[in-house]
Amino acid sequence: MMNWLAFTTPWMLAALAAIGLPVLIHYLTRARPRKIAFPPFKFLIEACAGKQSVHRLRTFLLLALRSLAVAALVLLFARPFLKPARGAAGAEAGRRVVLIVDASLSMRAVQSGVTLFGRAQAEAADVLRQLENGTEAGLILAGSSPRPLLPALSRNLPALHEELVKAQPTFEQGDMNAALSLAKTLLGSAGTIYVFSDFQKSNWEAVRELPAGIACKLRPVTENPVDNIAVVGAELTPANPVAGETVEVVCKVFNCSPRPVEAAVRLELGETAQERRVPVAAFGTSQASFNVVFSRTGVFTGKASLSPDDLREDNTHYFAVTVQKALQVLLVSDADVSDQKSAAFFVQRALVPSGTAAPGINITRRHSQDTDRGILETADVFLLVAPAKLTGEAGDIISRRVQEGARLISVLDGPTAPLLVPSACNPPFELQRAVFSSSGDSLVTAARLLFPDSDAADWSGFRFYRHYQNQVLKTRENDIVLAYADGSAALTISSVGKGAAVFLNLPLTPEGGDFIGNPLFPATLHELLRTLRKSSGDRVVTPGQSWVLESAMPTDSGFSVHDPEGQPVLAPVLTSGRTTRLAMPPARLAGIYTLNAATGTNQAGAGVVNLDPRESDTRQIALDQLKAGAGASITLIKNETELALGEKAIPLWPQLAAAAAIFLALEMLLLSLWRKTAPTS
Amino acid sequence: MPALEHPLLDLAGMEALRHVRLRPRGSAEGTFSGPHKSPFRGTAVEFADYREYTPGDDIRLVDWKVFARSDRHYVRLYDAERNLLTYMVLDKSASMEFSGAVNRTRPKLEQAARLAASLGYLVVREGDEVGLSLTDAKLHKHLPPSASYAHLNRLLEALAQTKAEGQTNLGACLDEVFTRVKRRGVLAIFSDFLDLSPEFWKAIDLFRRSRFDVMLFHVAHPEEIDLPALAAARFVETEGGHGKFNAEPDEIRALYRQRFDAFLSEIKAGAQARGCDYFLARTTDDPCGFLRNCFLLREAMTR
Repeated sequence: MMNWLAFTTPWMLAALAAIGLPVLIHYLTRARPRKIAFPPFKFLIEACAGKQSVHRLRTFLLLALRSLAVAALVLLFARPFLKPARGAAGAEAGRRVVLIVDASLSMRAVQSGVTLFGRAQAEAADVLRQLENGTEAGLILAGSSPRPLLPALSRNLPALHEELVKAQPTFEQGDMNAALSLAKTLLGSAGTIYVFSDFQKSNWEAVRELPAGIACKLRPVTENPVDNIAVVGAELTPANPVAGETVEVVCKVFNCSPRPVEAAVRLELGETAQERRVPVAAFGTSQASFNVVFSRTGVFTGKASLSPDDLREDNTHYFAVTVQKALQVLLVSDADVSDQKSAAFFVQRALVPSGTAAPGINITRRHSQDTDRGILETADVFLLVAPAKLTGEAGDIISRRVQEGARLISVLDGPTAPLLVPSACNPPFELQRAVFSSSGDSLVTAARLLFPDSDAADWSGFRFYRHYQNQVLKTRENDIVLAYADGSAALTISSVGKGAAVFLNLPLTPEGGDFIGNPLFPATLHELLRTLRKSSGDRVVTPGQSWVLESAMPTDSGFSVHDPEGQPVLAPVLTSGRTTRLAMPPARLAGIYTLNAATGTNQAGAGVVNLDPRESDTRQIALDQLKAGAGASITLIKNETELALGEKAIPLWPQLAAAAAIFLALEMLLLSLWRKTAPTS
Repeated sequence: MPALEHPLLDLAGMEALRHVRLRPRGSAEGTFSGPHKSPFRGTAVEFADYREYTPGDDIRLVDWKVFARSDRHYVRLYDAERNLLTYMVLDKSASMEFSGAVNRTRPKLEQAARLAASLGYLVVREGDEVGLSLTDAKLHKHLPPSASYAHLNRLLEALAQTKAEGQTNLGACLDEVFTRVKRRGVLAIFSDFLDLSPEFWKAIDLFRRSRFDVMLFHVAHPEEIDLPALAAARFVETEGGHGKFNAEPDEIRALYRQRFDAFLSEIKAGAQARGCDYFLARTTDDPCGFLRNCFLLREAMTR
């Protein structure tokens, strides 16, 4: 069986042309001999005849040594190895191999000047080159949606290699389970999977078992996790502020290193730039808080950033804030507008003392049968104050809007109350019946507080003469803010999808109790509006996900969407009207996606895609936690040599390195010797 | 003395040589009477011998006092004094073209011509005769000796028009010169003597046996004595042949110097053995000063 020579990076052999370099340098830099017609020529020949041939021999020897050293260096970088010939060429022909290359964000980390993905790419290329002809191979890039570089296993290894070389890491979180499943699907019942990954814990802890019947060779591309500091999240409260309102921006900084650090967080949002320094414990998180005031309406974009580190992609967190003129509150009630004893009257007056608008709040009042689609789609808060009955379409829209982020405040009073507790809005109780009390029921506060300061409100002094008896769900007791003595919930706050729902089981009329006459009543309503204004943290879009870009811009006149690199993005319109909702394709990049009107240069809307914070945690999983499925085997490849030896190849580069060193040393030795023995004039 | 101006002749420099004369070591056999002792009997004041009178002798030479004492007729004999014959042989082979690679001086041929011109002038100024032969592989031009300034002019023109070309065969040329000279005198050879063959020495011996006074003027460039100061040079042959030699002069300087010194020693020893005068003239030397030193040295050696 003959060994044959192969190269890990055969393209480096092109540098063999540099062998001629020493000769070229010699001829370019040597002193140009001047031609002299010399009469005593014969004396020269007689005296120095032997000298010239010795000189030529020395020059030849030096040039040969230099050229050999260059050749050895070039071959060293081409990384040759001896590959043993197979006993039977066809024995390996039926092999099926899938290479999984982790292309998640964490593979973009740089270690020793090379990205982990680049390292994985090179090692996967090594394995590809070592495969026998006839081997069926596949290659999977493992991002959030693993994709094979060729649709099926292929014997065209050069094409696969070419695709591998062109591959780029994603900004996504890696779904290793999906990648392994895809590999298993490609391989069928048997074969080998090579995995090149940083074995990041957050990506791999979901993998309980490696595919059955498959030989898995795991190659960690780094032994030590990359030290990383990242902005892993940021919350804007409120997320959709009104002009002039102070917005609190809280940036969460994660230190994924064994040493505490002090991080300088720089916030650039709207027209302001601020910086805070926060200490972050080893493998801990800290928060940097900023206050930002937007003086005008519009769409503002910005970012919170840290100094670059080895994984610089997650050092920036992006924001897009739509500052509106006022909060749109839709008050749905069937009470007569002129009825100054109705609950709707008191609620409206509590929020807006005169007219329909107050700073930051704009109230639109509608009859339950007069809620058109347009107003339902644009309202931020739905305030249902005992309407007779909502239309089916209105109920559906409100439910959907609440799921998508709008807020619902439902005042349960009067006979129609059961209709105002739609199951889609996820109430934390089961409504039973109306109860009355001539002496009045008092309230007790639950564990959850409405006001941040517990002393701000004293609820015990109020008397209520009717309420709906209800049974609080065991699992939802935390949603209860106020309750009656019989255990019925009086005020609940619940999350519903991306929005929230408040149920007020309080009579808000003069005969129902003395609450509305107290200053705490308007304060409670305002505090509810404030509390319900969700922070931006609830809506995080990460690369690889499809998402929805919303804008107040009508799309009749055309629009264009651009990604953070300025490339146009094809985004079909989901809904249009007073607002436009665009279906964005899976985001490729993290950053700010801008929506521009076809006419005019103003930015009409913006959406942000931020990196999955789990990718910032670069800690690795203990590989012995991975279990092989039935009939499967797991081999851990610890270094590059083992990777090559896995194919029983003998590396030759140590010998070549030694040869290059010997050639250079010999050249220097000869030079110094000859300089010493050179005749002096 | 008629005015004589020629580019090869530095008349101002020749003033330094006004007290220097070329004196032969032996007898002069010139055509005319001159200041130099000759082997002939003549009418000079120096008494030499008596001889018995034979018919035809000048009656004025009869010594009457001897006749009175012995009653026999004897005539008185006196030494004759002749002018000096100087034969100049100038090597005009291609090797005489060399004027240096780094340290440029006048070519060796020009230096030889200047020396010959100065010597010729000195000789004619003293009323002696001077001739010139130009040689390379063969004898090219032969001007028989004459003492006139017109002849000196012709000689200077011949020197001025000479171009360095051809190979050297000094031995054969000297043989041919010897066949053309009728009387003995001084033979001055101007050459780089790179063709130092046994034939050359045989020709010198021939002249010496005929009692010629031989002077060897070895014209050399300083870069021939010590190699040019160059980092690298490609030396090529000058006379025939296509030999090439690439070398770094600094590396071979010592070896070459050794070989050239051996050559100088060889020619010096050869000249000494044959009683010839040998002078090494560098192309950087002033011809007049050089000749003055040569003649002073020669005078000292003669005394």
